[in-house]
Amino acid sequence: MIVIDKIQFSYDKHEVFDNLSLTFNEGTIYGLLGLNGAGKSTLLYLMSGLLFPQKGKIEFNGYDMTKRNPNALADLFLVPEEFDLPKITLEKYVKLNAPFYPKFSRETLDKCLHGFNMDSNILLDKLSMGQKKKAFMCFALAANTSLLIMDEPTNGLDIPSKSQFRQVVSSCMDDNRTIIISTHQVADVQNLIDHITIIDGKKCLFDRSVMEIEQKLSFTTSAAENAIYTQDNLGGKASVCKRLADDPETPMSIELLFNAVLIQRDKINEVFNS
Amino acid sequence: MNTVFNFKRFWMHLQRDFILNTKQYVAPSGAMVVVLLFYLWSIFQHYPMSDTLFGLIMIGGAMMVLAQTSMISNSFQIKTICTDYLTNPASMEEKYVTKLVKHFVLPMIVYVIVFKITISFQEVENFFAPVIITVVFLSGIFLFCGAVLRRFAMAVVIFLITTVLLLLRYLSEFFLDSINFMWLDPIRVYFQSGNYTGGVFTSNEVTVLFAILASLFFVFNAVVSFFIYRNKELSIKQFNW
Repeated sequence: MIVIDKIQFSYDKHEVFDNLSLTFNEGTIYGLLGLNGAGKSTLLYLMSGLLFPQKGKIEFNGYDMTKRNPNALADLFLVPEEFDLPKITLEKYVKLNAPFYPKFSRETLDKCLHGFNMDSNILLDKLSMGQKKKAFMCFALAANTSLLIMDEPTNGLDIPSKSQFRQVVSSCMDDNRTIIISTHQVADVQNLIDHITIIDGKKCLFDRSVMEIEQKLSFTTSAAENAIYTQDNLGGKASVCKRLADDPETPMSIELLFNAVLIQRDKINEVFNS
Repeated sequence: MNTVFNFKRFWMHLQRDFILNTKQYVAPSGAMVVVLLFYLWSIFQHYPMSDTLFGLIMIGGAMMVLAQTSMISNSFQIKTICTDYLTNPASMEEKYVTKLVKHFVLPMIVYVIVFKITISFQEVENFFAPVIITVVFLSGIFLFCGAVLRRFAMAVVIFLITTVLLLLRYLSEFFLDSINFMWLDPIRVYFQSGNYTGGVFTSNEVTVLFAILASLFFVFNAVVSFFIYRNKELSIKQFNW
């Protein structure tokens, strides 16, 4: 479990977070959403101990992340948006890095590689950007850390790889693990995430589980009368409404919810607080 | 598991760093070995170039060790390298000692071996201990400067020290003979011609004493530099992207 407690963070004079508090629990895949510059990557770097808050604290399984305790680092894995892989084979990479992660599973690595149609006998620097990302994510999942943080994991992946990504990640999920995915490609993580957290510079706008969202809201492809938010879509309209007791459950549209939260934040939160 | 310094984890980190940054380990030492090979070739061919190569190994090698040492506390300028380094599950102490091995211990060992081989052909054996002690002493200063000063400033320091040393080389007879400080003796030996036979370093005890003092000075600087480096690493401004 990772607890963010009243953190304040700024880059020189540009304030990013002010009094932000969040909790990420085990057994959940979180979708961290926000506009460009909302502070998603900064929050991920703060959680992984790369940056430190000026005020407040971030604790991961009881470890203060500003200490960069090696035991804490061995139990979390960050897949940044940009990374470099060395000029070695994946086998050699695994041999060098796996001993740092006590729960590393070779079996999981092979399963993930198979899920992405990849071979373990590959030279990392010869791979395309998308293939590098898949190889790195396979290692990250195989490390079996309690916390896995992914920043824009589907950027650079081709269309089949995006659905493979969802299958591979969900197959590696268990009750002791927390996965946080920050992304703009909401369609890529649809049906994968269990919880949505929307941040918008300084504060958290929305923090609810998908189950709760689908219980309280309904998503329609028409302009409903009691809609909280309606947007124009190609060939029609789409709405978010308060779901009534006898309304059937509708699958959540992350994009629609995101726009609704940005524009009608108070009304959306009212539905959840009522 | 020990969170400050665990030898097994340090060894894993060192191995990982060596494989991922082999060029950084091999290149400086490789350059010295190449010059040594030229030197040996020159000796066996009875070419007069051997004296020039001897000077190159002595001064160039020392400068290479010092330049390497000043890099120990450098912070990372490339985000991807920095992210990989900071998220690797090893303690700051283990990572620092790895840098110490890469940028000081290894070049120093290669320098000592190469220098020992070259000096044996020059018949100026008394040169050896004072020069090595001086390099260790100066490494301590460079390590500290590297931790305190920014990269550009460090380049300026290296340039200034090089200039001062070159000036001393020409002024050594006049300058060092007029002030007979004991601690300057290694420098005196360093820049005098090969016929040095007297002075405080003739006694083994004094050589050992100077060697211990220089080593202690280096260790002290390494510890102080670690805390400066640690503050850098923990500073949000340092790794602000």
